[in-house]
Amino acid sequence: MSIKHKALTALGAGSIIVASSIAAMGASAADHLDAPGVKADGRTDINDVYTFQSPTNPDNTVLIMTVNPVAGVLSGTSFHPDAKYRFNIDDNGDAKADTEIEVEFGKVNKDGRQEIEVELEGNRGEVEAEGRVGTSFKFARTGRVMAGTFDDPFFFDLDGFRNNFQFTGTNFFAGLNVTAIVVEVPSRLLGEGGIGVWATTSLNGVTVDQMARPAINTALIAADRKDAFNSTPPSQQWAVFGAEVTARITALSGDAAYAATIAGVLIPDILTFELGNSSGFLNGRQLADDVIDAELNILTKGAVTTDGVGANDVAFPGVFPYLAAAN
Amino acid sequence: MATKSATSSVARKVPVALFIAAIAMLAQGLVARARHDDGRAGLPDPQEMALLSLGRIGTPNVIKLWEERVQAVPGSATFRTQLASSNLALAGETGDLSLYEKAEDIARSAVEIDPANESANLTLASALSGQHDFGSALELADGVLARTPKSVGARIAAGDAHLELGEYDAATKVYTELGQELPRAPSILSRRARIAALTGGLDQAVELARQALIGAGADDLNTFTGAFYWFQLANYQYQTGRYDDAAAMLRSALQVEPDHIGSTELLGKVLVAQGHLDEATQLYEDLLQRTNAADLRGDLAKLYAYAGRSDDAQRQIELGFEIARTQAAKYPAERRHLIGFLADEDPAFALQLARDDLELRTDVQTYGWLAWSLLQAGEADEAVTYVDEALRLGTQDAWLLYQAGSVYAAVGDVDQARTQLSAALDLNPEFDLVHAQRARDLLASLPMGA
Repeated sequence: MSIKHKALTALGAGSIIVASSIAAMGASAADHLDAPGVKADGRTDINDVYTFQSPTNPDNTVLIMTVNPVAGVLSGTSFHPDAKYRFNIDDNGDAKADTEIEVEFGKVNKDGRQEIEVELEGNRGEVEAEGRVGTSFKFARTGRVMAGTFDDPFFFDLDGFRNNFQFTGTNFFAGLNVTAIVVEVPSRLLGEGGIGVWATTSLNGVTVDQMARPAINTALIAADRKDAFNSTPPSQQWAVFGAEVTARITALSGDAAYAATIAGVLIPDILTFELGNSSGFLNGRQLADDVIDAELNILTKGAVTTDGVGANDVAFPGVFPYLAAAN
Repeated sequence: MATKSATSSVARKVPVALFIAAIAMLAQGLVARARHDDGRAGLPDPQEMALLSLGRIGTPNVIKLWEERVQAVPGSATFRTQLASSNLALAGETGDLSLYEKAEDIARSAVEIDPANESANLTLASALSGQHDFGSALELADGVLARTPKSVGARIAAGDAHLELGEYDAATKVYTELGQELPRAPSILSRRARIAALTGGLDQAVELARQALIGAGADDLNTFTGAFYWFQLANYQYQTGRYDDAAAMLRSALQVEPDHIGSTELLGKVLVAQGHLDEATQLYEDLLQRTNAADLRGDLAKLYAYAGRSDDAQRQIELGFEIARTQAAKYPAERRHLIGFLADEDPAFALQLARDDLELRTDVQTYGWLAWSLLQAGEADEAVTYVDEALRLGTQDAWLLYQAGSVYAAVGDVDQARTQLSAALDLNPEFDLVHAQRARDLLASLPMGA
């Protein structure tokens, strides 16, 4: 089992710089120039998705998507100028987007900044706004948007997990950064009552990454099917992956009936959220929610209850943009 | 009627011939322009590639970050792997060979903690490759593949090790499969380019390197990695004698990353080939302030000697010897660079290194340098026994062809000597300040009609 948020991908072999010397390129010091390894583009690699009631305005909902794992170290800190970053909101339970909040970025300019355009489009209204990365700007009258580099809000004892659940309570992600898109929007523009949220990144109309709850793809989908899962719309995920996920949870929990119930909750991979409800995970996901403990419990049916890391290493500010400043 | 008809026919044919000629000229012009541009259109903007890295911390700071993590959590294989990997990155950026050993030690400690850790094993393989222990690197990659056969990182590591060992069929198989799975991945295109170059397909290598560069321009890469793709394209252009194109690519590489040593060094060779000797001299002098290598001292010595500065040239050769003696024993990875320098100055030493290199690998360059060292040591009869192996892939490399031609000339095989020397000079007429002229002289000295 491999519970993770997406940042773990950047730490795995898939992204390792495989240093092969280019000896035959010339009888020169080029010998020690490393041909790069295959590496996912961190800019479109979704790490985590958060959805929660605004702590400062109960009529607003906050949506956060983080990309660029271990930003500034293993990834850069910019957003892809050709990508569409999208929050998809389903307001009627059919696992199809009724409202989309699409975010696009310009090229990095000479002072290292990017322009940003945000557009909400759905059956409850249309809103557009523009700004610059690193600066918050108004959106939909009472809302705000900000994109930039922040402290990675995810917390988890990665090594303990890799070391056969021998947790030491060390937060692997302490002191590391991530880039994030934070959108606070009046909840009325998203729906009434319950909604479902998932995030996607796409290039040239092709979905690159897709995510809602933490760990679903990584923990429950076979390695050679992960790309397919990323490109399968949530409305089709149960038909395509339901059996596989059920079997995986059965293996983890040892209880087929329990697994069938849980699989039905986790697939399709949508972050369900009751608008105006201040509760946390599994009602949306708040920044401080210990999702790893929750999922360890769920997937192992209580056999493993905690990784020993209960909070982020840095306090969340409680005001927009809610993420802690970059390290 | 017949005459008239014939006249009419001619009258019709002339415009057709002119039209065909015009089309041919146009086509030639387009081809010439395409060759001159080398598909410059569509290549990424180096400034934009440089800007992408503004938010990244430099590799020394990355190392510091992971060192702190290792200190805080000594039992973390993941932190140790990252620390080893960042040391490898710094080795590539600075040319500091001691960092490969350091990376190896750290990666070994990570593998000890977590023997099945894929990243740790592949990082260790990379550290060993950096020290030219390709056999051990291959073993590690194969070990990972036994557990995770589809691991892209392990397949790349295995393919690279096969290539360096001279196991070209195995390497080609790996790269071909990866190319089918990841047709637009710059790192795979880059490796396919290298295979193409080794097997005589330099034009194909240029095209693949160009595609790799275009792909890299769309990726979020650090500046050293980004510069590599410009460097690779320039290298193949240089090998085909397209010096202006190569210079332009290298200046772009240095716009992306001004400290890219490989691009600086290759630019020195290109400047020499273009005849810009003063600029090349200045470049080598500046480069040797940052990195100290025997072959670079040898190149600078040639420039000094050419300019009549024999004392300065001799001083560079002496410095080169000091480096060579120190590094030959300590860093086997440097062996091949040292052979190139030493073969001119101390053939016996060069020959010993070349024989040692053959113990480790049997790639075409190893055979080429062994044959060359033997020739310089006065062992032409033995040298010629290695030439076939050096040429077995049909590699179009001016140095390799020159070495072969020189050996053939020494044993009296005039036809082969003429063929190989001509090929070397046709391909890259100014491949070396001294030896290109020697190749021309040797070719001119061959008996006619033999």
